[in-house]
Amino acid sequence: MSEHPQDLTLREQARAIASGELDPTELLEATLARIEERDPAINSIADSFGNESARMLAEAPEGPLNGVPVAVKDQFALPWRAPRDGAFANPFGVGAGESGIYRRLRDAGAVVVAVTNMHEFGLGSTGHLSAYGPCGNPWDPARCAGGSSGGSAAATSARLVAGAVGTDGGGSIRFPSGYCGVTGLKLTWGQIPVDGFTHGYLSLGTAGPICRDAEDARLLGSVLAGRPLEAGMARGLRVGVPRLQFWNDLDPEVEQACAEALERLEDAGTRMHDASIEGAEHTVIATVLPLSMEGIPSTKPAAIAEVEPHLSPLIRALTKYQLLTPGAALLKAGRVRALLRRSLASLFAEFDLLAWPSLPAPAPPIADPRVRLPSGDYPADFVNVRLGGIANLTGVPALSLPCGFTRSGLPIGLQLLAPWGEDARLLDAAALLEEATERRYVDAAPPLAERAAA
Amino acid sequence: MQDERQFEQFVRAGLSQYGLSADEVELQVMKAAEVMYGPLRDALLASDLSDVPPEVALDPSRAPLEP
Repeated sequence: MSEHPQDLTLREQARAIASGELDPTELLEATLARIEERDPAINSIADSFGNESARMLAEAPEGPLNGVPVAVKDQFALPWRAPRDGAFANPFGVGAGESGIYRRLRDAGAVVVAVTNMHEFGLGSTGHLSAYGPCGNPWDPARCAGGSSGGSAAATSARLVAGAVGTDGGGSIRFPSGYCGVTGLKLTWGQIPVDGFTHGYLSLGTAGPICRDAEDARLLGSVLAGRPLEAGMARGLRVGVPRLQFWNDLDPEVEQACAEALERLEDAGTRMHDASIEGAEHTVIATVLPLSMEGIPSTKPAAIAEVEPHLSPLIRALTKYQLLTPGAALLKAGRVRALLRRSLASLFAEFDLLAWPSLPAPAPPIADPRVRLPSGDYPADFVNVRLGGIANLTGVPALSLPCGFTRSGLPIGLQLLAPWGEDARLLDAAALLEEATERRYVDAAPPLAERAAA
Repeated sequence: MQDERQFEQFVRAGLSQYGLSADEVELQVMKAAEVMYGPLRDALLASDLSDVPPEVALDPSRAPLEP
Protein backbone atom coordinates (compact mmCIF):
# COMPACT_ATOMS: atom_id res chain seq x y z
CA MET A 1 0.00 0.00 0.00
CA SER A 2 1.37 3.39 -0.91
CA GLU A 3 -0.38 5.26 1.93
CA HIS A 4 0.59 4.74 5.55
CA PRO A 5 -2.12 2.43 6.93
CA GLN A 6 -2.85 4.85 9.76
CA ASP A 7 -3.78 7.54 7.23
CA LEU A 8 -6.51 5.34 5.77
CA THR A 9 -10.05 5.88 6.98
CA LEU A 10 -11.67 3.27 9.19
CA ARG A 11 -13.67 1.79 6.29
CA GLU A 12 -10.58 1.76 4.05
CA GLN A 13 -8.68 -0.16 6.72
CA ALA A 14 -11.56 -2.64 7.03
CA ARG A 15 -11.83 -3.08 3.27
CA ALA A 16 -8.06 -3.45 2.81
CA ILE A 17 -7.91 -6.15 5.48
CA ALA A 18 -10.92 -7.98 4.03
CA SER A 19 -9.39 -7.97 0.56
CA GLY A 20 -6.03 -9.17 1.85
CA GLU A 21 -4.33 -5.97 0.76
CA LEU A 22 -3.45 -5.02 4.34
CA ASP A 23 -2.07 -7.38 6.99
CA PRO A 24 -3.92 -6.65 10.25
CA THR A 25 -0.86 -7.57 12.29
CA GLU A 26 1.12 -4.91 10.45
CA LEU A 27 -1.73 -2.46 11.00
CA LEU A 28 -1.72 -3.16 14.73
CA GLU A 29 2.04 -2.70 14.90
CA ALA A 30 1.81 0.51 12.87
CA THR A 31 -0.89 1.79 15.22
CA LEU A 32 1.17 1.11 18.33
CA ALA A 33 4.23 2.66 16.68
CA ARG A 34 2.29 5.78 15.73
CA ILE A 35 0.94 6.14 19.26
CA GLU A 36 4.49 5.98 20.55
CA GLU A 37 5.70 8.45 17.94
CA ARG A 38 2.98 11.09 18.04
CA ASP A 39 1.14 10.84 21.33
CA PRO A 40 3.77 12.43 23.58
CA ALA A 41 2.87 15.79 21.98
CA ILE A 42 -0.82 15.55 22.88
CA ASN A 43 -1.23 12.91 25.63
CA SER A 44 -4.43 11.49 24.16
CA ILE A 45 -3.72 7.89 25.14
CA ALA A 46 -4.07 6.78 28.76
CA ASP A 47 -2.97 3.22 28.16
CA SER A 48 -2.08 0.84 25.35
CA PHE A 49 -1.55 -2.90 25.66
CA GLY A 50 0.09 -4.61 22.74
CA ASN A 51 -0.16 -8.14 24.09
CA GLU A 52 -3.89 -7.98 24.83
CA SER A 53 -4.57 -6.29 21.49
CA ALA A 54 -2.58 -8.97 19.67
CA ARG A 55 -4.61 -11.63 21.50
CA MET A 56 -7.84 -9.91 20.47
CA LEU A 57 -6.64 -9.82 16.88
CA ALA A 58 -5.73 -13.50 16.92
CA GLU A 59 -9.25 -14.36 18.11
CA ALA A 60 -11.11 -11.76 16.04
CA PRO A 61 -14.20 -13.13 14.31
CA GLU A 62 -15.27 -12.10 10.85
CA GLY A 63 -17.17 -8.86 11.08
CA PRO A 64 -17.43 -5.32 9.72
CA LEU A 65 -14.35 -4.20 11.68
CA ASN A 66 -12.33 -7.39 11.41
CA GLY A 67 -8.74 -6.61 12.45
CA VAL A 68 -9.30 -2.85 12.68
CA PRO A 69 -7.79 -1.08 15.72
CA VAL A 70 -10.04 1.26 17.68
CA ALA A 71 -9.56 3.14 20.94
CA VAL A 72 -12.09 3.46 23.77
CA LYS A 73 -12.63 6.13 26.37
CA ASP A 74 -11.48 5.37 29.93
CA GLN A 75 -15.03 4.52 31.01
CA PHE A 76 -15.45 0.95 29.80
CA ALA A 77 -14.38 -2.28 31.44
CA LEU A 78 -11.99 -4.41 29.41
CA PRO A 79 -11.17 -7.98 30.41
CA TRP A 80 -7.67 -6.89 31.35
CA ARG A 81 -8.33 -3.39 32.66
CA ALA A 82 -10.72 -1.54 34.98
CA PRO A 83 -11.77 1.90 33.76
CA ARG A 84 -10.49 4.85 35.77
CA ASP A 85 -12.86 7.58 34.56
CA GLY A 86 -9.92 9.92 34.07
CA ALA A 87 -9.09 9.68 37.77
CA PHE A 88 -6.95 7.66 40.15
CA ALA A 89 -9.71 5.03 40.07
CA ASN A 90 -13.41 5.04 39.26
CA PRO A 91 -15.63 5.39 42.34
CA PHE A 92 -18.46 3.25 40.96
CA GLY A 93 -16.96 -0.16 41.63
CA VAL A 94 -16.60 -1.00 37.92
CA GLY A 95 -13.75 -3.48 37.69
CA ALA A 96 -12.05 -5.31 34.84
CA GLY A 97 -14.37 -7.42 32.73
CA GLU A 98 -16.34 -7.53 29.50
CA SER A 99 -18.32 -4.31 29.17
CA GLY A 100 -21.17 -4.22 26.68
CA ILE A 101 -19.17 -1.88 24.45
CA TYR A 102 -16.19 -4.25 24.54
CA ARG A 103 -18.45 -7.12 23.45
CA ARG A 104 -19.93 -5.15 20.56
CA LEU A 105 -16.46 -4.21 19.32
CA ARG A 106 -15.06 -7.71 19.80
CA ASP A 107 -18.01 -9.35 18.07
CA ALA A 108 -17.52 -7.00 15.10
CA GLY A 109 -13.90 -8.18 14.85
CA ALA A 110 -12.40 -4.92 16.10
CA VAL A 111 -9.16 -4.76 18.10
CA VAL A 112 -9.16 -2.50 21.15
CA VAL A 113 -5.72 -0.95 20.89
CA ALA A 114 -5.80 1.79 23.52
CA VAL A 115 -7.75 3.55 26.25
CA THR A 116 -8.06 7.28 25.73
CA ASN A 117 -7.53 10.17 28.12
CA MET A 118 -10.60 12.01 29.41
CA HIS A 119 -11.60 14.87 31.68
CA GLU A 120 -11.58 13.73 35.30
CA PHE A 121 -14.91 11.97 36.12
CA GLY A 122 -16.23 13.40 32.84
CA LEU A 123 -16.95 16.65 34.65
CA GLY A 124 -15.68 19.09 32.04
CA SER A 125 -15.66 20.05 28.39
CA THR A 126 -11.98 20.96 28.10
CA GLY A 127 -9.95 17.84 28.96
CA HIS A 128 -7.31 19.89 30.77
CA LEU A 129 -7.95 18.11 34.09
CA SER A 130 -7.14 14.42 34.19
CA ALA A 131 -5.18 12.01 36.32
CA TYR A 132 -3.20 11.29 33.15
CA GLY A 133 -2.38 14.97 32.62
CA PRO A 134 -4.01 17.42 30.22
CA CYS A 135 -4.88 16.31 26.70
CA GLY A 136 -3.60 18.61 23.94
CA ASN A 137 -5.27 19.47 20.67
CA PRO A 138 -3.50 18.10 17.57
CA TRP A 139 -4.15 21.42 15.81
CA ASP A 140 -2.29 23.26 18.59
CA PRO A 141 -1.02 21.10 21.47
CA ALA A 142 -1.06 24.11 23.83
CA ARG A 143 -4.84 24.22 23.45
CA CYS A 144 -7.51 21.95 24.89
CA ALA A 145 -8.61 18.86 23.01
CA GLY A 146 -11.98 19.17 24.72
CA GLY A 147 -13.90 16.96 27.05
CA SER A 148 -14.80 14.86 28.35
CA SER A 149 -13.96 12.50 25.44
CA GLY A 150 -10.91 14.61 24.54
CA GLY A 151 -8.49 11.73 24.12
CA SER A 152 -10.80 9.92 21.70
CA ALA A 153 -11.17 13.01 19.52
CA ALA A 154 -7.49 13.99 19.67
CA ALA A 155 -6.29 10.45 18.89
CA THR A 156 -8.59 10.28 15.87
CA SER A 157 -7.64 13.76 14.68
CA ALA A 158 -3.91 13.01 15.02
CA ARG A 159 -4.48 9.75 13.11
CA LEU A 160 -3.28 7.52 15.90
CA VAL A 161 -6.46 5.53 15.26
CA ALA A 162 -9.08 5.87 12.56
CA GLY A 163 -11.92 5.63 15.05
CA ALA A 164 -12.58 5.79 18.77
CA VAL A 165 -15.45 5.43 21.19
CA GLY A 166 -16.54 8.44 23.24
CA THR A 167 -19.42 9.15 25.58
CA ASP A 168 -21.65 12.19 25.85
CA GLY A 169 -23.64 13.28 28.91
CA GLY A 170 -23.76 17.03 28.21
CA GLY A 171 -21.85 17.38 24.93
CA SER A 172 -18.79 15.23 25.69
CA ILE A 173 -18.55 13.69 22.22
CA ARG A 174 -19.54 16.80 20.28
CA PHE A 175 -17.33 19.31 22.14
CA PRO A 176 -13.97 17.56 21.59
CA SER A 177 -15.02 16.60 18.06
CA GLY A 178 -15.65 20.27 17.35
CA TYR A 179 -12.37 21.37 18.92
CA CYS A 180 -10.32 18.68 17.12
CA GLY A 181 -11.95 18.80 13.68
CA VAL A 182 -13.45 15.30 13.60
CA THR A 183 -16.95 13.86 13.32
CA GLY A 184 -18.61 12.77 16.56
CA LEU A 185 -22.05 11.22 16.94
CA LYS A 186 -24.00 11.03 20.18
CA LEU A 187 -26.42 8.22 19.53
CA THR A 188 -30.05 8.30 20.60
CA TRP A 189 -30.15 7.45 24.31
CA GLY A 190 -30.59 3.78 25.19
CA GLN A 191 -29.04 2.05 22.19
CA ILE A 192 -25.86 0.82 23.81
CA PRO A 193 -25.46 -1.73 26.58
CA VAL A 194 -24.47 0.01 29.80
CA ASP A 195 -22.91 -2.87 31.72
CA GLY A 196 -19.27 -2.18 32.49
CA PHE A 197 -19.75 1.54 31.68
CA THR A 198 -18.77 3.77 34.60
CA HIS A 199 -21.59 6.23 33.80
CA GLY A 200 -24.15 3.60 32.86
CA TYR A 201 -26.53 5.15 35.39
CA LEU A 202 -26.92 8.35 33.33
CA SER A 203 -30.30 9.23 31.91
CA LEU A 204 -28.51 11.93 29.91
CA GLY A 205 -25.49 10.07 28.60
CA THR A 206 -24.66 7.50 25.99
CA ALA A 207 -21.74 6.39 23.85
CA GLY A 208 -20.97 7.04 20.23
CA PRO A 209 -18.31 7.00 17.54
CA ILE A 210 -15.66 9.64 16.93
CA CYS A 211 -14.18 9.30 13.46
CA ARG A 212 -12.73 11.36 10.68
CA ASP A 213 -15.88 11.57 8.58
CA ALA A 214 -19.53 10.60 8.37
CA GLU A 215 -19.10 7.25 6.62
CA ASP A 216 -16.60 6.06 9.22
CA ALA A 217 -18.95 7.22 11.98
CA ARG A 218 -21.71 5.24 10.24
CA LEU A 219 -19.55 2.10 10.29
CA LEU A 220 -18.44 2.37 13.92
CA GLY A 221 -21.79 3.78 15.03
CA SER A 222 -23.62 0.78 13.55
CA VAL A 223 -21.38 -1.56 15.52
CA LEU A 224 -21.93 0.35 18.76
CA ALA A 225 -25.69 0.74 18.25
CA GLY A 226 -26.07 -2.90 17.27
CA ARG A 227 -28.11 -1.99 14.20
CA PRO A 228 -27.21 -0.67 10.75
CA LEU A 229 -27.34 3.10 10.41
CA GLU A 230 -28.50 2.89 6.80
CA ALA A 231 -27.54 5.64 4.35
CA GLY A 232 -30.39 7.75 3.01
CA MET A 233 -31.02 10.93 1.06
CA ALA A 234 -30.23 14.25 2.70
CA ARG A 235 -31.42 16.45 -0.16
CA GLY A 236 -34.80 17.96 0.61
CA LEU A 237 -34.40 17.78 4.38
CA ARG A 238 -35.98 20.65 6.32
CA VAL A 239 -33.56 22.18 8.81
CA GLY A 240 -34.79 24.26 11.77
CA VAL A 241 -32.37 27.01 12.80
CA PRO A 242 -33.03 28.53 16.27
CA ARG A 243 -31.16 31.74 15.50
CA LEU A 244 -32.36 33.75 18.48
CA GLN A 245 -31.47 31.04 21.01
CA PHE A 246 -28.36 29.21 19.83
CA TRP A 247 -26.81 31.50 17.25
CA ASN A 248 -26.18 34.44 19.60
CA ASP A 249 -23.10 35.41 21.60
CA LEU A 250 -20.75 33.38 19.42
CA ASP A 251 -17.14 33.94 18.44
CA PRO A 252 -17.49 35.78 15.09
CA GLU A 253 -15.37 33.27 13.18
CA VAL A 254 -17.42 30.37 14.56
CA GLU A 255 -20.66 32.10 13.62
CA GLN A 256 -19.44 32.86 10.12
CA ALA A 257 -18.14 29.33 9.40
CA CYS A 258 -21.32 27.70 10.69
CA ALA A 259 -23.54 30.12 8.75
CA GLU A 260 -21.55 29.34 5.61
CA ALA A 261 -21.98 25.63 6.27
CA LEU A 262 -25.75 26.11 6.34
CA GLU A 263 -25.51 27.98 3.04
CA ARG A 264 -23.59 25.08 1.51
CA LEU A 265 -26.22 22.66 2.81
CA GLU A 266 -28.94 24.85 1.35
CA ASP A 267 -27.12 25.02 -1.99
CA ALA A 268 -26.95 21.22 -1.87
CA GLY A 269 -30.72 20.90 -1.58
CA THR A 270 -31.76 21.20 2.07
CA ARG A 271 -34.16 23.92 3.20
CA MET A 272 -33.50 26.25 6.14
CA HIS A 273 -36.26 27.63 8.37
CA ASP A 274 -36.26 29.74 11.53
CA ALA A 275 -37.13 27.75 14.65
CA SER A 276 -37.64 28.40 18.35
CA ILE A 277 -37.30 25.95 21.27
CA GLU A 278 -39.57 26.56 24.25
CA GLY A 279 -37.73 26.22 27.58
CA ALA A 280 -34.28 26.68 26.07
CA GLU A 281 -33.41 29.52 28.48
CA HIS A 282 -32.93 27.01 31.32
CA THR A 283 -30.78 24.57 29.31
CA VAL A 284 -27.50 25.18 31.17
CA ILE A 285 -28.69 24.63 34.72
CA ALA A 286 -31.20 21.92 33.74
CA THR A 287 -28.28 19.99 32.24
CA VAL A 288 -25.62 20.68 34.86
CA LEU A 289 -27.73 19.67 37.86
CA PRO A 290 -28.69 16.12 36.83
CA LEU A 291 -25.40 15.58 35.00
CA SER A 292 -23.39 16.25 38.15
CA MET A 293 -25.81 14.56 40.56
CA GLU A 294 -27.07 11.42 38.82
CA GLY A 295 -23.90 9.60 39.76
CA ILE A 296 -24.21 10.23 43.49
CA PRO A 297 -26.39 7.19 44.26
CA SER A 298 -24.04 4.97 42.22
CA THR A 299 -20.91 6.13 44.02
CA LYS A 300 -19.47 3.70 46.52
CA PRO A 301 -18.59 5.63 49.72
CA ALA A 302 -15.49 3.54 50.37
CA ALA A 303 -14.31 4.07 46.81
CA ILE A 304 -14.80 7.82 46.87
CA ALA A 305 -12.86 8.00 50.14
CA GLU A 306 -9.99 6.19 48.42
CA VAL A 307 -10.13 8.32 45.28
CA GLU A 308 -10.77 11.75 46.79
CA PRO A 309 -7.22 12.56 47.99
CA HIS A 310 -6.00 11.97 44.44
CA LEU A 311 -8.53 14.22 42.69
CA SER A 312 -7.66 17.63 41.31
CA PRO A 313 -8.73 20.38 43.75
CA LEU A 314 -11.30 21.62 41.23
CA ILE A 315 -13.08 18.31 40.80
CA ARG A 316 -12.78 17.54 44.52
CA ALA A 317 -14.49 20.84 45.29
CA LEU A 318 -17.20 20.34 42.67
CA THR A 319 -18.04 16.85 43.92
CA LYS A 320 -18.68 18.41 47.33
CA TYR A 321 -20.49 21.48 45.98
CA GLN A 322 -23.01 19.31 44.13
CA LEU A 323 -24.06 17.75 47.44
CA LEU A 324 -25.43 21.14 48.48
CA THR A 325 -27.86 21.55 45.56
CA PRO A 326 -31.44 22.13 46.72
CA GLY A 327 -33.71 19.22 45.83
CA ALA A 328 -36.29 21.68 44.51
CA ALA A 329 -33.84 22.81 41.83
CA LEU A 330 -33.29 19.26 40.66
CA LEU A 331 -37.04 18.65 40.48
CA LYS A 332 -37.56 21.87 38.55
CA ALA A 333 -34.77 20.85 36.18
CA GLY A 334 -36.78 17.71 35.55
CA ARG A 335 -39.76 19.84 34.65
CA VAL A 336 -37.63 21.83 32.19
CA ARG A 337 -36.57 18.55 30.69
CA ALA A 338 -40.20 17.58 30.15
CA LEU A 339 -40.84 20.94 28.52
CA LEU A 340 -37.84 20.62 26.21
CA ARG A 341 -38.76 17.07 25.18
CA ARG A 342 -42.27 18.17 24.23
CA SER A 343 -40.87 21.22 22.45
CA LEU A 344 -38.49 19.11 20.35
CA ALA A 345 -41.19 16.55 19.57
CA SER A 346 -43.32 19.39 18.26
CA LEU A 347 -40.45 20.92 16.25
CA PHE A 348 -39.55 17.58 14.70
CA ALA A 349 -43.07 17.37 13.30
CA GLU A 350 -42.07 20.40 11.21
CA PHE A 351 -38.36 19.87 10.66
CA ASP A 352 -36.09 16.91 9.92
CA LEU A 353 -33.04 18.41 11.62
CA LEU A 354 -32.05 21.26 13.90
CA ALA A 355 -28.72 23.08 13.47
CA TRP A 356 -26.44 25.32 15.49
CA PRO A 357 -22.71 25.52 16.26
CA SER A 358 -21.13 22.71 18.29
CA LEU A 359 -19.24 25.21 20.44
CA PRO A 360 -19.41 28.98 20.88
CA ALA A 361 -15.66 29.48 20.40
CA PRO A 362 -12.59 27.54 19.24
CA ALA A 363 -10.42 25.50 21.60
CA PRO A 364 -9.09 27.58 24.53
CA PRO A 365 -5.53 27.37 25.91
CA ILE A 366 -4.83 24.54 28.37
CA ALA A 367 -3.17 27.07 30.67
CA ASP A 368 -6.33 29.20 30.86
CA PRO A 369 -9.39 27.40 29.49
CA ARG A 370 -11.53 30.47 29.03
CA VAL A 371 -13.12 31.69 25.84
CA ARG A 372 -13.84 35.19 24.58
CA LEU A 373 -17.36 35.88 23.39
CA PRO A 374 -18.98 39.18 22.38
CA SER A 375 -20.54 39.47 25.87
CA GLY A 376 -17.26 38.80 27.73
CA ASP A 377 -14.76 36.15 28.80
CA TYR A 378 -16.07 32.91 30.35
CA PRO A 379 -14.84 29.50 31.50
CA ALA A 380 -15.35 27.27 28.46
CA ASP A 381 -17.42 24.75 30.45
CA PHE A 382 -19.99 27.36 31.38
CA VAL A 383 -20.76 28.45 27.82
CA ASN A 384 -20.29 25.12 26.05
CA VAL A 385 -23.08 23.32 27.87
CA ARG A 386 -25.60 25.88 26.58
CA LEU A 387 -25.10 24.42 23.09
CA GLY A 388 -24.65 20.80 24.09
CA GLY A 389 -27.21 20.08 26.79
CA ILE A 390 -30.48 19.92 24.88
CA ALA A 391 -29.63 16.71 23.04
CA ASN A 392 -28.85 15.07 26.40
CA LEU A 393 -31.90 16.36 28.22
CA THR A 394 -34.18 15.19 25.44
CA GLY A 395 -32.35 11.99 24.42
CA VAL A 396 -32.22 12.81 20.69
CA PRO A 397 -29.15 11.98 18.59
CA ALA A 398 -26.74 14.80 17.78
CA LEU A 399 -23.59 15.14 15.75
CA SER A 400 -20.68 17.53 15.39
CA LEU A 401 -18.95 17.74 12.04
CA PRO A 402 -16.02 19.91 10.96
CA CYS A 403 -17.11 22.92 8.90
CA GLY A 404 -14.24 25.38 8.90
CA PHE A 405 -11.15 26.83 10.51
CA THR A 406 -10.33 30.04 12.30
CA ARG A 407 -7.67 32.32 10.81
CA SER A 408 -5.25 30.82 13.32
CA GLY A 409 -6.02 27.32 12.04
CA LEU A 410 -8.29 25.92 14.76
CA PRO A 411 -11.21 23.69 13.72
CA ILE A 412 -14.84 24.80 13.91
CA GLY A 413 -17.76 22.37 14.25
CA LEU A 414 -21.40 22.50 13.20
CA GLN A 415 -23.93 20.61 15.30
CA LEU A 416 -27.00 18.82 13.95
CA LEU A 417 -29.82 17.21 15.94
CA ALA A 418 -32.39 14.70 14.64
CA PRO A 419 -35.50 13.06 16.08
CA TRP A 420 -35.24 10.03 18.36
CA GLY A 421 -33.94 7.00 16.45
CA GLU A 422 -33.02 8.98 13.33
CA ASP A 423 -29.28 8.78 13.99
CA ALA A 424 -28.56 7.86 10.37
CA ARG A 425 -30.16 11.07 9.11
CA LEU A 426 -27.42 13.06 10.85
CA LEU A 427 -24.79 11.09 8.97
CA ASP A 428 -26.63 11.62 5.68
CA ALA A 429 -26.61 15.38 6.24
CA ALA A 430 -22.96 15.33 7.32
CA ALA A 431 -22.03 13.40 4.18
CA LEU A 432 -23.91 15.94 2.08
CA LEU A 433 -21.95 18.81 3.65
CA GLU A 434 -18.69 16.94 3.13
CA GLU A 435 -19.55 16.59 -0.55
CA ALA A 436 -20.65 20.22 -0.82
CA THR A 437 -17.34 21.39 0.68
CA GLU A 438 -15.27 18.94 -1.38
CA ARG A 439 -14.19 17.20 1.85
CA ARG A 440 -11.75 20.01 2.62
CA TYR A 441 -12.50 19.97 6.35
CA VAL A 442 -12.74 16.23 6.99
CA ASP A 443 -9.62 15.43 4.98
CA ALA A 444 -7.47 18.17 6.50
CA ALA A 445 -4.66 16.77 8.64
CA PRO A 446 -3.50 18.68 11.72
CA PRO A 447 -0.01 20.20 11.79
CA LEU A 448 1.06 17.46 14.20
CA ALA A 449 0.41 14.85 11.50
CA GLU A 450 1.98 16.91 8.75
CA ARG A 451 5.13 17.59 10.76
CA ALA A 452 5.50 13.92 11.58
CA ALA A 453 5.07 12.96 7.92
CA ALA A 454 7.66 15.49 6.71
CA MET B 1 -18.07 40.07 52.19
CA GLN B 2 -21.17 39.33 54.25
CA ASP B 3 -22.47 37.15 51.39
CA GLU B 4 -19.13 35.34 51.22
CA ARG B 5 -19.20 34.63 54.92
CA GLN B 6 -22.76 33.37 54.70
CA PHE B 7 -21.81 31.17 51.76
CA GLU B 8 -18.87 29.73 53.70
CA GLN B 9 -21.10 29.02 56.68
CA PHE B 10 -23.66 27.38 54.41
CA VAL B 11 -21.00 25.20 52.78
CA ARG B 12 -19.39 24.15 56.05
CA ALA B 13 -22.72 23.40 57.71
CA GLY B 14 -24.05 21.56 54.66
CA LEU B 15 -20.97 19.41 54.19
CA SER B 16 -20.85 18.58 57.89
CA GLN B 17 -24.17 16.76 57.38
CA TYR B 18 -22.21 14.33 55.24
CA GLY B 19 -19.24 14.23 57.61
CA LEU B 20 -17.20 16.26 55.10
CA SER B 21 -15.22 19.48 55.29
CA ALA B 22 -13.77 21.88 52.74
CA ASP B 23 -10.29 23.38 52.68
CA GLU B 24 -9.57 26.94 51.55
CA VAL B 25 -8.87 25.96 47.95
CA GLU B 26 -12.10 24.01 47.75
CA LEU B 27 -14.01 26.92 49.21
CA GLN B 28 -12.58 29.25 46.58
CA VAL B 29 -13.60 26.84 43.81
CA MET B 30 -17.10 26.54 45.28
CA LYS B 31 -17.40 30.32 45.48
CA ALA B 32 -16.41 30.62 41.83
CA ALA B 33 -18.91 27.92 40.87
CA GLU B 34 -21.58 29.69 42.88
CA VAL B 35 -20.90 32.96 41.05
CA MET B 36 -21.40 31.17 37.70
CA TYR B 37 -24.18 28.73 38.42
CA GLY B 38 -25.92 30.22 41.47
CA PRO B 39 -27.88 32.85 39.51
CA LEU B 40 -29.02 30.23 36.98
CA ARG B 41 -30.13 27.90 39.78
CA ASP B 42 -31.93 30.74 41.54
CA ALA B 43 -33.66 31.76 38.30
CA LEU B 44 -34.78 28.17 37.83
CA LEU B 45 -36.07 28.04 41.40
CA ALA B 46 -37.94 31.33 40.84
CA SER B 47 -39.44 30.26 37.52
CA ASP B 48 -43.09 29.36 37.26
CA LEU B 49 -43.26 25.89 35.75
CA SER B 50 -46.59 25.04 37.31
CA ASP B 51 -48.22 24.84 33.88
CA VAL B 52 -45.68 22.24 32.68
CA PRO B 53 -46.96 18.77 33.51
CA PRO B 54 -44.31 16.25 34.59
CA GLU B 55 -43.43 13.57 32.08
CA VAL B 56 -44.67 10.33 33.55
CA ALA B 57 -42.48 7.30 32.81
CA LEU B 58 -39.72 9.29 31.14
CA ASP B 59 -38.04 7.29 28.39
CA PRO B 60 -35.24 9.32 26.73
CA SER B 61 -34.98 6.79 23.90
CA ARG B 62 -38.22 8.00 22.36
CA ALA B 63 -40.41 11.05 21.98
CA PRO B 64 -42.75 11.78 24.87
CA LEU B 65 -45.93 9.75 24.61
CA GLU B 66 -48.27 12.52 25.67
CA PRO B 67 -48.56 15.76 23.65
